[in-house]
Amino acid sequence: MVRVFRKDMLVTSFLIALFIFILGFYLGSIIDETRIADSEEMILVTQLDTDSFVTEKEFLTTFNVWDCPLLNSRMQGLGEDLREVGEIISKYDARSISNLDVYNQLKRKYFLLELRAYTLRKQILQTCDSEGGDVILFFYDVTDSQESLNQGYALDSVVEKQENVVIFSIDGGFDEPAINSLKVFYNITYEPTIIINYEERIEGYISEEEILKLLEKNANM
Amino acid sequence: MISTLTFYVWILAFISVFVSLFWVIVNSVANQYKKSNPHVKVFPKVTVVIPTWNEEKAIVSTIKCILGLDYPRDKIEIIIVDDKSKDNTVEVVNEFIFKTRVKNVRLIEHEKNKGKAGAVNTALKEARGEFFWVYDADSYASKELLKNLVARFYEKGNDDVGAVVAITMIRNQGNLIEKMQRLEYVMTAFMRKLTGTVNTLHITNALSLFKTGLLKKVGGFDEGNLTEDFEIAMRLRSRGYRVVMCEKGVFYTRIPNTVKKMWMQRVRWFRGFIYNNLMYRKMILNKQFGLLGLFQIPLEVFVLITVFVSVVIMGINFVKEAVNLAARVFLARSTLFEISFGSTGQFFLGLNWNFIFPFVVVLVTAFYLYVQAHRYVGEKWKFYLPSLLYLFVYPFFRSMQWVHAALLEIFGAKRKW
Repeated sequence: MVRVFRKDMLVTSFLIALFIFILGFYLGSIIDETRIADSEEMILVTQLDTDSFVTEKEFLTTFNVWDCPLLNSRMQGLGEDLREVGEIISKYDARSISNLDVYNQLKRKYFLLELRAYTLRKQILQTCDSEGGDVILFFYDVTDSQESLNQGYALDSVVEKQENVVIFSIDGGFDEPAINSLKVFYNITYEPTIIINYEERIEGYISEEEILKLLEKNANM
Repeated sequence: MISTLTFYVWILAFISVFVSLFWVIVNSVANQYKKSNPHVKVFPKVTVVIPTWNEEKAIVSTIKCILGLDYPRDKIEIIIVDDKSKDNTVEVVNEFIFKTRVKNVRLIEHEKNKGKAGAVNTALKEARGEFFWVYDADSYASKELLKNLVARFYEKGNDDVGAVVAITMIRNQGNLIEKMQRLEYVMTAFMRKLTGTVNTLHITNALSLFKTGLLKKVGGFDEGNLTEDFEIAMRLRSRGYRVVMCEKGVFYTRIPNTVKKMWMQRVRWFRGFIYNNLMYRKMILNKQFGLLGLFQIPLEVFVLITVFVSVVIMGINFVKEAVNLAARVFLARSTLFEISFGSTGQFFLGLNWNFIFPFVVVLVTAFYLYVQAHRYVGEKWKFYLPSLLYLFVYPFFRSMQWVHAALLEIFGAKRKW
């Protein structure tokens, strides 16, 4: 065996490793761009669905031909779509290493869509009474709050058991004037907090069983 | 935003890729040279020391194996040092000497147990050979090994060689634990070849050959040391001597065959590693020791530190995930297996490429080195359960063994063999 160490071996290894990492970052940025494009497309589709729903509602209001089961079912679908979009955007956001501003804009658009849907749901409720099921507005904390996570799990389970419940989840710490107004309106000072059917405000964790009881009580009123 | 964990993983991945690539380059350069094929012209006297402790079953076959080596018998002096065995090792050796009337086999008995290093030092005082060969009683060497080990000292430019290390393979390959360790020995042999190539080899093992005079000069083996073979190599290196690899010939050793025995052996090795690195800390980042001081030892210390940090991070994340899972089980059991992937494209986009990409790069280079290691020891590589366990499961346990060893060192646990 011969002694063959040369400094250029170390330098070459370092340069190749560096090249691999630069390539990795480049691929990472391409993947991130694709994620952003996908998120934007999903938001656009949901936005169009919401616009379509609003147009349909305006048409029905104008001609005074309310079809509550149809509106409720479309509202339910919109809520589910929004939930899916929210899950995917938050997953993409967690994976992204740059583009913080872009993801913030995407999240802003998403939360605004949620608030719009939340308001629309209220308008339908005023006309169609309680036929459309229940609505829960969920303010959560994203900063490593196990309580918020637990509340999310409990709400998942509620949706699983009560199909006609629509949940709108809002990041309580997100800086958006519309969210801030809503927080002032409902006096949200702590996350998690849930608002059941626009009125009942529960601060802190509440179990699935208790939520179901409250929904049942509301239905009997 | 980049989390601390992502940043940490990237740093680790970068260093892993850099180091793996360095070894890939060293290997490809080393392969351009033929394996040294020492031509033995001289046969100096070699003292073979066999430290024994309860070796009644193995000792005779070990002596016969040494006497049967491809080396002039009159140039071999065998000293068996019995370290107060509780079985009939002494009687068995005496009977062998009496029956065969061999003149070059001697038995020295310790009045009390002194440990392996103590036994070897006893033999060192009595050694008359120019070279000193420590031979574990449960090991055996291939016939040509000794002459090739000796020849390495006589190669041109090897005047500063203090010890020659042999390729170690294992004798027992029965159960899963043994098969998994076989892979470790294959990788170790290969890594020793690579470190030998760039002159950073700093470990000796059973059946390493030393210059007797040099061993006496540096004071023999450290009797209080858990890994006296590692310590002597560090001592030789710290005094400017080299440790080189002999690629011709193999010695076979027995390895632990249960998880408990393996665990205890590794913890002892790792404690020895920590202790000896602390003892020879002056070598770390010391220009005087070349690549060994500036690259090899710092790298090993870095690996040790990252093992700790990784174990802590893994522990914290494990607890977090466990709490989360428990919360899901208790709060939303019905949704436990409801995993939303979105479309196939969204599933791939949602994967954590920040971790996957460096992991794949490290995996590819590790795989290349794995294949090369098998080629080096003349074996065909294959993927089977033990290799998968060795590559993906064993590192986790090894990390635990490192932590165990470090805790024992920190709390000053008694050093026992």
